[in-house]
Amino acid sequence: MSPSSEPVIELQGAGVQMGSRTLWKDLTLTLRSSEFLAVLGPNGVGKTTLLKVLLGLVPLSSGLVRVNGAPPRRGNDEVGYIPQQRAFDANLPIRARDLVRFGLDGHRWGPPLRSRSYRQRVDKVLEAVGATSYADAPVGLLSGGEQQRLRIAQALLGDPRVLLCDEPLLALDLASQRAVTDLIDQRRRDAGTPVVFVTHEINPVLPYVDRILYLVRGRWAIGVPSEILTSESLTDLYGIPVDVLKVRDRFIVLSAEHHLSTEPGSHAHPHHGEG
Amino acid sequence: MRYRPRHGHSEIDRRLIGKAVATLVATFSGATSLSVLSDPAGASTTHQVLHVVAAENFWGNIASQLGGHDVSVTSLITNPNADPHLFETDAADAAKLAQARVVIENGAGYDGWMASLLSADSGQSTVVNAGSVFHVTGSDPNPHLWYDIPKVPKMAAAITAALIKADPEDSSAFQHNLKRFDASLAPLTAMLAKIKRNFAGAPVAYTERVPGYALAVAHLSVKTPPGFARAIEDGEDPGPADTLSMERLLTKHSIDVLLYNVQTVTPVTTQIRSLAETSGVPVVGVSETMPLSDRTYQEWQLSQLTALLNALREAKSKP
Amino acid sequence: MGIGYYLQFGFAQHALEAAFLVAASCGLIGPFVISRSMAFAVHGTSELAFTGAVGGLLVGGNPLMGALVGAVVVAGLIGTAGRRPSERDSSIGVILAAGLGLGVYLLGFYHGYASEALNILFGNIFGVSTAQIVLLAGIALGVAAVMGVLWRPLLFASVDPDVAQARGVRTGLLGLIFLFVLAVTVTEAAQLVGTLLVLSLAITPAAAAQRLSASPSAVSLLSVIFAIVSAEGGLLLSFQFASVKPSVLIVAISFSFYTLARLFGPFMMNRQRQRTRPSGQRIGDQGSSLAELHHD
Repeated sequence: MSPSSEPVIELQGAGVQMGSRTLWKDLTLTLRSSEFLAVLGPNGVGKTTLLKVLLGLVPLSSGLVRVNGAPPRRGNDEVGYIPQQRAFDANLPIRARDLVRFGLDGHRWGPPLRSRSYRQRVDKVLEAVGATSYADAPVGLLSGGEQQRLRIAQALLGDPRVLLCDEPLLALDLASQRAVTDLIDQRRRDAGTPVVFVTHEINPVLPYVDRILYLVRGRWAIGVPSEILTSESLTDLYGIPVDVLKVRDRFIVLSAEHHLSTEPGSHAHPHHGEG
Repeated sequence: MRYRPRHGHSEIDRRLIGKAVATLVATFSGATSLSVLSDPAGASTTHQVLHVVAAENFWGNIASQLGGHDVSVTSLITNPNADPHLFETDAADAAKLAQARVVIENGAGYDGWMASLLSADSGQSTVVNAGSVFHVTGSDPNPHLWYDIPKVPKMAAAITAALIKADPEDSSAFQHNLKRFDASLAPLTAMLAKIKRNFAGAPVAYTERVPGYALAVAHLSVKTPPGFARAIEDGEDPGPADTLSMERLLTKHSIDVLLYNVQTVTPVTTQIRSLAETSGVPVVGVSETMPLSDRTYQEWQLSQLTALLNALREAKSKP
Repeated sequence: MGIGYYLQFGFAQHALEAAFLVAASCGLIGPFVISRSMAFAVHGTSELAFTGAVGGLLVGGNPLMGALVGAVVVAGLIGTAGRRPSERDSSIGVILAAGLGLGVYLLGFYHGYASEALNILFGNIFGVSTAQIVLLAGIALGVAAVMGVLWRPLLFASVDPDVAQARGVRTGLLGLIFLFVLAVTVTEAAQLVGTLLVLSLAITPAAAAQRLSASPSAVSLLSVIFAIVSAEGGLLLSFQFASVKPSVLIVAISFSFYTLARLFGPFMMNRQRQRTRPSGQRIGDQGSSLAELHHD
């Protein structure tokens, strides 16, 4: 698939309200092919909700959103989704290849089909992410890194035109973080698939990031890392004094009030759902 | 070194399924071969015995007295220690029921499970239902009809009629047995009359309605709160008000005798019984089904009524 | 008197037919009951069949229909009670207690036929009529059809709910439909083998199957086979040992399957647990390869 300059994702004046609370509003951005957009911000700010809007799960309260020129709809193969890792019961009778296959026909009605072509496609994508050696292993016995490879495979099966990643590196060891991020970026390079990468740790993906969208309590800023990750920008966004330190290639964000986690290896307690 | 599974995955699963199917087949072939070895029918005697099945052993006992050696009676509830409301048949009993020519049930809501058992097979049998024979009506009748001694001859007559219908050849024997049975009830009738003569109006209490009909015939006055008896019969705990009333009957000696169903033992009934004993109120044990130690229905009822008479005398003799 | 002797009776044939139908239905829903952590719901729904039965007696003199309707109502209540397992368990407990209390209360109005309602709880497998077989067959066909249609998206929603939702699977609706299927199946089973034994057909065979395979389709198939063999095998044994209650034997076989599966499962699954890294180093199945992450 050749990259085009048509916008893959467009948001214009978009806003989401949960009850009486406004998550974010007046969000305007355009995402084009091959772009790697990181989405940062404190917990609860609405990062995951942004992804849900793009997945067609949550409607906008105001403004406009387009995915590949059309309004977002659920179950769109063109939108690949990579969630954070979750715990599976060790006894759960689901193998790695079954989890991946969900991305192919898990949503279709009816009993499982013994389709050779399906199996071949699953095998192919397992190989692409390097998961062939544990294809028949129960998912409950896999490590986080192994599971996240499967997630990528699951998303790739639909030949997506955009990848939405929701904290995929959470609780992974460094080697796995690198491997997972590299796989995602490889897709971007090979097929021009843009990536929206929600995370609260910027450093592991910094080498790949084109732009950062930073959300803070209803306000937002978008730009290249060197523009966004500055004490001035973040102080302006947060409304409280924030210091950004660059230590060699890594950024550390500190505030006087509490530690805003952007140190490698640290993570605040993740919220799933609101932000 | 890359991992290579020794067998294709679908093969392993097919093996598993193959094993499971093999087990299934083995079970069925084992069953079939066993059936070849089994005896397809009971050895027939020169004189055909009439199969009778009774739901409860007291009706069964009466039926065997009425049928004599011409019938083979099976009773489904024989264990006097089991709660007759909880019941599961085994295959042997179910088969006997399917083959029976005469079926005796109590009815009146006591043995509703008989209906489903009877519906499962298409045997031809005459069903004798005590509730129907006694014309029991109402929304909450006392189902313990076998304590209604004056009416038992009616049931005996109905059973005899069914036996005659199924086995007309032995009609004279059955009728002879019926006369003998009716006569054997005389001591029971006499005992009830004696109690009535000496103790009519005496206050008594029971834990359940089991002996209710006999007490009514003897004109004894039952003081148990209806809610209490109903709850125990249903296998529930009575409400606190009813339990309190029941306890007061004992502690205040408002009743002369406590009749206690020895087959339904719960913390509440046990406590009531102890309270009766400590309060000096005589306790008479009655049972829902006929105990194995009694040889006949008459013997059973007579021993209970005798105990009741003695208890009433004992209560009267106290200051 | 062997098995052959009893097989000539109508009650025995009906029992075998009914057991097959009930076991097949239970085997189909079993794996999903486990993956959705709904064992408690099975127990609760079957207990509440009693309340429905009493209600059915009161309203129309039909305890079976009452039990089915009651089961569906309860399933609906449980379905709206909360999605997380912790929430669900406590709400099921509340609904169960309330429902049973209601049943006792209703029983007060329909006293004379108490034992008939109680039959719903202590079903009689040798008391199944031809009409009931027809009804059971209809229900079994319905359950099989619905589960067949639901299989893929329900599996997806049960195992991976967030991604399933993202892929457009209507997880809430599927959960509700499954709850109805569960309620109807469990009520039907309770009618036959009693509440006490429902778990031995709806859960134990599936649990045994899980120990033998990690493939979801294999587990579903094994679950159905184990349930059927337990039910039919238990019945056939009860014809051979004719003074033993069939429920005892059914539970015994079902439990034996589970025990054997636990004993021999690790051997069957061994190849799945022995994996190698590209470097040739063996990876164990211990905690080192499990994430420590806790959710919810």
